[in-house]
Amino acid sequence: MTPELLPDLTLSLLLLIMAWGALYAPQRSDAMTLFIAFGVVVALIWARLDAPDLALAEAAIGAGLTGVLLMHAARALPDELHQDYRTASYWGALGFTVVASLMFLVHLLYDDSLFNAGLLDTESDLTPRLRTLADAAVPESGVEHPVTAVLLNFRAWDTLLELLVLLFALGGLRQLFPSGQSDDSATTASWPESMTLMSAWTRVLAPLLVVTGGYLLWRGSSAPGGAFQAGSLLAAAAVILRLTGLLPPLRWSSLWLRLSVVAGALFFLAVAAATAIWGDGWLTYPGAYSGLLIISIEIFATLSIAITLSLLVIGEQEDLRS
Amino acid sequence: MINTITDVLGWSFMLAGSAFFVTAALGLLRFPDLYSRLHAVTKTDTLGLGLLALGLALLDPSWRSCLILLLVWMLVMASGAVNCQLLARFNLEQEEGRHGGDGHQTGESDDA
Amino acid sequence: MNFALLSLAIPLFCGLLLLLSGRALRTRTTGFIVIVSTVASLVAAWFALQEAAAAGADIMLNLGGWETGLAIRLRLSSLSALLLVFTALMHLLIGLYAGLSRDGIKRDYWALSCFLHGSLAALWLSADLFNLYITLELLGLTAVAMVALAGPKAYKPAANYLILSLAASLFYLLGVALLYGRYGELDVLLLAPRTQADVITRLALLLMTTGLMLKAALWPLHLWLPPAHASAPTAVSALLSGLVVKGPLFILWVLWSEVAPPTLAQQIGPVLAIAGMIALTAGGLSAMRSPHIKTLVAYSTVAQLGYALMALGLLLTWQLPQMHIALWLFVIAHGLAKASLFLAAGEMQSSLGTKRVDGLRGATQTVPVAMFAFAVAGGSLIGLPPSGGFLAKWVLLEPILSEPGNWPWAMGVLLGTLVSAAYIFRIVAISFDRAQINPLDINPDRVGHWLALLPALMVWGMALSGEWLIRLLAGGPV
Repeated sequence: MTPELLPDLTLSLLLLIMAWGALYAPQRSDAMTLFIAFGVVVALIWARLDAPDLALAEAAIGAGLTGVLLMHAARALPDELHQDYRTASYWGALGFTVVASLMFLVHLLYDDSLFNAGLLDTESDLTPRLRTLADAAVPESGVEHPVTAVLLNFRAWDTLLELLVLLFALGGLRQLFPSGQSDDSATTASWPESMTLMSAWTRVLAPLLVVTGGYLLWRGSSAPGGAFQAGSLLAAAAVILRLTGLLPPLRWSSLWLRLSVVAGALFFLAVAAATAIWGDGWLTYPGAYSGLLIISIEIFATLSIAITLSLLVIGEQEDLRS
Repeated sequence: MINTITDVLGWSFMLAGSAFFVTAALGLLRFPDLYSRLHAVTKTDTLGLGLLALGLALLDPSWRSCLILLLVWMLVMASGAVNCQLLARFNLEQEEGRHGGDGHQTGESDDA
Repeated sequence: MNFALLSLAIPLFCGLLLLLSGRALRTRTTGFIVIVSTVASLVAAWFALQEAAAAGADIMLNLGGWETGLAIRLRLSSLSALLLVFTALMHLLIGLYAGLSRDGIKRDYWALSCFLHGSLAALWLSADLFNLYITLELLGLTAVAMVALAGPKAYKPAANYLILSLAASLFYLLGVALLYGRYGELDVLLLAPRTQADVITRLALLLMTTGLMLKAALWPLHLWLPPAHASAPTAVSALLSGLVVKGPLFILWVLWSEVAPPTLAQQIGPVLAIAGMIALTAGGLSAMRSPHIKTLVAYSTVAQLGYALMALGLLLTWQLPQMHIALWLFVIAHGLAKASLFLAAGEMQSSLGTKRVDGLRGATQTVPVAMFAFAVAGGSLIGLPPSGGFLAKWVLLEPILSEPGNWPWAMGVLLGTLVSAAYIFRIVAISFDRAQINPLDINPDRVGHWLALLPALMVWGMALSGEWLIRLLAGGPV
């Protein structure tokens, strides 16, 4: 028993309570609030696990942007939908849990290696080979921080595809808005009077977020941070500014918007193709330039992530289909 | 000697801060209406966090961490105050006019 | 290897540039650009196939030039090269239809189909479990977006598809995490000799199999498929049924034939084979009863995937690597035939102005070319010689029939054939009913009908190159 165990156990318990509450709260608004709190607890747990970059991303996306998204969606939904959905999903979930646990039990009983070889013995021969390989290769990667080296050099192909995931999600969202006609009724939301205070506060907050985002991006090469965290903070700034009406609508018809959405993936892919044609192979950065290439990829990726995330959260008809 | 004094001071500030948080939670649960609840939460939050930050600064008296703690405290205090005002004003508007505005829901989640 | 990468990069670049161009280009021009880029990708894939066949063994590429284990590896085998060619060919055929048929298609289809092409190419080439997860995600997202192209009536199936697809991805990811925690490797080929039949491996494989079967709509996790595929636009249905469900199947095959220890694979084999047999009958029966043309075709996908699942199961049960020839021949034959079926079904629907099977009365007279395409492609699904379907079935039956002990499995194949014949002939019989002809709603679009016939002719042409295909898949010299 160490003293650290107490906060850890509290956090784990809190996480379970939040999850339960978010699933079974009688009111939709309560469930949403609990879900946001759930995101915050997850972020705290990541921080406890010494993964500050994940904690940042979780807090920004899991709690912040998802929260805005949920509230937006809740406004558009009729109230009675909630009840129907719950009963149906409840039985489905129950049946699934029963089947899954039965399968799992059968699976375990079928096999005696749990007791012979043992789960616990395996940990001794679990050599973190990949970890040592990665640590040894970090000096050649062009950055100092191992996580950044993994993300943008050793497994850069994964990151490139992940950027595409975000882009494709936006492509899917665009299909939900029929093209052509745009109704003006939805465009002018009436803000309550108290929003003046909100916009004043946003004027203070947004620059802070932008500065923090820039700092995270710059710091990414030597410490936890990087394009994704920076991008999500910038997206948060954009979302707040947009919600308070300080930022003009992000119109898909503008070339600059489209350019910033695809810039990250396009530049990354161009680097990959260029290294394949003129260099040593697909995504093999030339040694001397790898640091420079990585930071430029990160800058473009940050821009794309920020714009794409904010469009995913607050993109409306007039943003995506004009 | 100095060390122990600052340690004791630091820990007692932190304890006092935590006590304020407990009262905040109690107030949130027990107070009758929105305004008094907001009062309980924001006032004790500001004070409680201030005491916590002060205590932590005493325990780790390097300039860097002191500055960071001060910044954290100020940011949380400011956002707490703004959120309190937003909620209260919005509620007041609703009570007075019963018109306009569903923008409040999106407004309050920005600091999450 | 560079040719394979070219075949992967061209559609991705094309899709990104199309997104960038926005509304600057007319939809026709966009279609033309995509078709040209697909041709380029097809040519590159063809050269990659030559390269792979000449090499004899798998060509591996360590991305980033890092050492094996640290780097993600791409693998160009003759199978993955063949699948690259197949993917590009399907995109070309369906792209030609989407671009040239009268109905046309929304502008966003073109960018999305480029992305789908790129995602599939990345999937065929990957030899890394985590990288495969990302390609699965890409595939699922584009597929959902393409279903939603059909407009508000498709939102509900698309949303169901999205949620199931994400849940399936999480299952798969959890399995990958367990395997990584247990063995500390993500590379398929490094993992293969190290896996043992212990609890964690079992659990991981079980989770991954559940996720992949859900994504590939393999029985009994197929229920999302018919509504999603039936409500999508015609060209999209063809792509989804012909290509998208094959992606998870590929990963399932890699997982069980390479990663899983043989003892576990032998245990799961019969289960998969029986699930395949049930899929053949149950899917076929649902297809027979379905009142709508497109739903019938979608259920036939569920049934036909049963063959592939059966081939996979028997491969694992008997540890016969040659069975993978049957598996992939099925995949290719089914992809081409299903593209033709969906395109023909969509054309008949719009020409006759009905979605119902009864509305096809007299279709041999009113829409002869489309009906011919439907019948020809259906013939391959049934397995009539000398179609691609027949070729695949022949390769599947060969080891089954050689041992008397294996004959019960042959009953499954026979049953599947009968049921497929039943639902195809149901349509064909109605279409010959010239007593009460259902008149044309609009003047039929000749070009569209002929383009629907094209994949069907190719699947019959497959038999001509059968020996070449079999030798290619066997990994021998071509």
